[in-house]
Amino acid sequence: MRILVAEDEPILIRTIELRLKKDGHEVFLATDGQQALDQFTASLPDMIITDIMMPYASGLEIISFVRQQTGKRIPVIILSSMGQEDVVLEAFQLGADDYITKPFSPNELSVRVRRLLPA
Amino acid sequence: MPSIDKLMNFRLKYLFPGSPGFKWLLGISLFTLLCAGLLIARCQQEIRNQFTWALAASLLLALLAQLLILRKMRHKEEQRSTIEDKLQRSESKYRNLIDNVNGVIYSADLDGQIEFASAGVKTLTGYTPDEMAGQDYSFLVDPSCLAEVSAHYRNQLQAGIKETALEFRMINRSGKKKWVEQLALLLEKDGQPTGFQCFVRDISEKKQMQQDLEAYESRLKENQILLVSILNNTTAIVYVKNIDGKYMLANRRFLEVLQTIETQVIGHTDYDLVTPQLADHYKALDDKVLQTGSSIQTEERLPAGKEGDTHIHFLITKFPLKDNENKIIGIGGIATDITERVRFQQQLISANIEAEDARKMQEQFLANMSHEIRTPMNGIQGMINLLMETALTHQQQEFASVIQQSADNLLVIINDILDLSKIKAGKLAMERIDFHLQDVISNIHSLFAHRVKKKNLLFEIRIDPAIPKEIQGDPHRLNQVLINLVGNAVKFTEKGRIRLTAALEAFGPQSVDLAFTVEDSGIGIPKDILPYVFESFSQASVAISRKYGGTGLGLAICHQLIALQGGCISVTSQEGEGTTFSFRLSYGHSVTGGQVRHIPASSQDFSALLAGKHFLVVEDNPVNQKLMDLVVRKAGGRVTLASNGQEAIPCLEAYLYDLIIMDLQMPVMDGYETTKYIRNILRLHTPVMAMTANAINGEQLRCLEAGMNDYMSKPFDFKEFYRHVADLLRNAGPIASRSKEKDYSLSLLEEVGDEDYIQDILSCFLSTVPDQMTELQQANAAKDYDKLFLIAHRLKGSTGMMQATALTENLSRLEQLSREKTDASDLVHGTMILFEELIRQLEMEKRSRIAQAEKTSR
Repeated sequence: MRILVAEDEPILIRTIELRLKKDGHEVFLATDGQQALDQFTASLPDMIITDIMMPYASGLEIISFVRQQTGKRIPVIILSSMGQEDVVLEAFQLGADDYITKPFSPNELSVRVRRLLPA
Repeated sequence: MPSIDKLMNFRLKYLFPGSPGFKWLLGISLFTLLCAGLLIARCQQEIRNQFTWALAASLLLALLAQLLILRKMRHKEEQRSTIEDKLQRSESKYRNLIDNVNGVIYSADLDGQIEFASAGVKTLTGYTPDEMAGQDYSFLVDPSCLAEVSAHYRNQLQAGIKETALEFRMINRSGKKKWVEQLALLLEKDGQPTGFQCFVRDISEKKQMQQDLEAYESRLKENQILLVSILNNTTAIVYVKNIDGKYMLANRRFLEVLQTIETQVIGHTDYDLVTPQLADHYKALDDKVLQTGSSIQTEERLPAGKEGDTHIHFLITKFPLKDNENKIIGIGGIATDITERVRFQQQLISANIEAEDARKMQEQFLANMSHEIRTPMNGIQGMINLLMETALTHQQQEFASVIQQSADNLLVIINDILDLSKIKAGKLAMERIDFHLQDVISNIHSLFAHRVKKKNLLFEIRIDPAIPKEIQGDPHRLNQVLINLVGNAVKFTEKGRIRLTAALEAFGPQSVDLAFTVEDSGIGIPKDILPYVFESFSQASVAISRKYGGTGLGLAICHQLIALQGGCISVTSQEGEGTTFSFRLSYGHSVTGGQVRHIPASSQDFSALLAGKHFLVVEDNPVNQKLMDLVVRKAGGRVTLASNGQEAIPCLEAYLYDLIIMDLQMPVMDGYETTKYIRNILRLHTPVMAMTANAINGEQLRCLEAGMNDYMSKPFDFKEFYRHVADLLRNAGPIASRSKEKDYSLSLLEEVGDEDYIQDILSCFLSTVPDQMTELQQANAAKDYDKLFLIAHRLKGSTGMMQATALTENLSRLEQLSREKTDASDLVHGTMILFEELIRQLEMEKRSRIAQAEKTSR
């Protein structure tokens, strides 16, 4: 599957990227909000994993943008930090499908991704 | 109309004749008419006719002539009566004048005999004009000036002076003296003097006024002289300015102070005398007086001395000068020299500052002395204690015992003095912790049990069962007070009993009020001393001091300590019967609800307590090093010594100790720094016990903040030390299981079960994080809080994955501070230290993982 990962923190990107690749996914990376939106339009991924707080465009804006697109409904997983519970709630209202709190277990992320992708 | 008037006058005179001329004239006229009539009647008709005409004509002529004569006569008559009238009127006028003139006119002959005196003489002299006539003028002259008066007139007569005026005193009929003025006119006939014509006038009133005026003027002059001498001799500056600010008056002192002369002041303004700034200032003050119309007082100073290096200080009162209509016409000023007063005030201020400095120095001295004395005392006491436990001869034992006792006494005195000075400096803080009253009292009991028993006294302790088990307050200060009071009781009681009671006074929702009494059957306190027992250095007498010892500070300290806790202490005593001290203290309710740590009972066997335990003693003083070594070994423990923090660190890195004894004041790296290093960098949880000779307030708190577990002040009691150590070791739990911890955990990554994955992430961390650390520091230095927030947030994600908890917490805090735009330099500094350590550890981790992987692959 094609997964777009939007995250500005290099260690996390690497952690997620490697773990998802291990599962055989194709990973597209974006290190800020604007890149994420561009990548989304360009690569049309099957899933998006996005951080909430990023330069240029926040995770919430990405969800809104993605949900405005017609066609296939693309699953979105939110990467949240401790203390961002209220933002997670907002993300769910905008149409996020799942969230995982940093620091997280890469394996757990793998399981959550698998659960949201069509068999 | 004068002509009509005259005519009228004439007719009236004619009709009402009064003068003989008139009567005669009238007779002639009537006779003429009668003759004419008779002639006419006797004549014949014709003749009568002719004659009648002639007669009528002659008659008419006669009448005309008569009229003319009458008129002439009338004119003469008129002239005569007018002169008479005038004369008469003139005489009465002058008579009136003479009689009514405000004075007396009299005439006298050349001998001075009065010939005539006017009516006014009665008013002036009391004699009538008749009585005066024939008298000598001198009979009324005041004898005191008679000679002068006589001489004057003799002179006038001889010199033939026409007119003189003389003022002299006279005495009237009733003996009253009057001042008179006499104008004397020398009468002459054919060049020969004939007498005097005099005018006398009463000038007593005028004279009085004149005298009054003269007196007034002389008084005025005297006042003027008085005022001028006061003005010129006063030490105050006095001046008067007009409304335009020009000087009208300036006294001598004014001129002296301004070093000028009067002509340069009078008519000039301040701008001619002082600097423009000063003149502006004075003008502003003057304007204020002129505007408000009321006086002002101000302190001013003027440069003095040759170089103007000193100042004269003045207290100036400026007041408005008003005229009769209350209009301000100028400003008066009085300036008093207050230089001395100001100098005195300044001296007072500097004396106060000096006193304050001295007080601070005293405090500092006490703190230093405390440290300096306690350190060697620690050595003395410790070594004596150890010495006494060695095999000594009886005599040696005795000597050592004396040394021990002396050292103990000395320490008590030092502690008393320090306590009192701390109290006086307001530096003694009260604790507020939960404690068991029973613990405190049991401690007192065990402390004194031995001495009481030795003196064969009865020691009764009664605690009200209604007192809650746990209360909140300062147990140490209660302990101190009780030790003092019970100690005194034991000291001054030779037989009988000592009773300590604690009773519940009141049980309120906020507080528990307790009443304590310490009662003895000792020597008692003399009545005259009783009121002063709570004052410093007041023992009953020198003899008592000598016999029983002590500083006389104990009760003063008790009193202060109780007062500081909001309580009060009182004493009753009967000489020879005993003494009772009572005090009340208010405690709070316990909040822990049964979690209070008991103060452990004393008398425990510590000999095996430290068996097998390894202590690191960080201490710079060789005597104390030795002492600690002995004390620990005595209880079966082992000791490694380090002279300061820097020496300690390699030991701590190399070996896991059971307990660290940490001196606070050390060269190179002190106790606080070392402990922080142990906790934050070495991340060791080994219990640390602080040892300090400092009696400074707040020391304990600082120690706990630095990460130490307990605190003891030097010199210390061995048993106390063992108790503390035992507590620490017990709470620390089994030491063996602890290993030097890592700051991180890779468990999340390890779950993936892929060594390459872990190594990849580790490499990524080690290659990206150091740069971000630099960025973090730069953002902090630039106070770019937005950037700081962003970097901290990003790093937090990374360290979170490594589960570097402390570091992640630090970064969270950093996020928060930078969001609040608060300076976080300290935190950044601490974070960097943790980062460096984490990097170091992760590098080790990576190396060991690579090594491990190589080993496995081989």
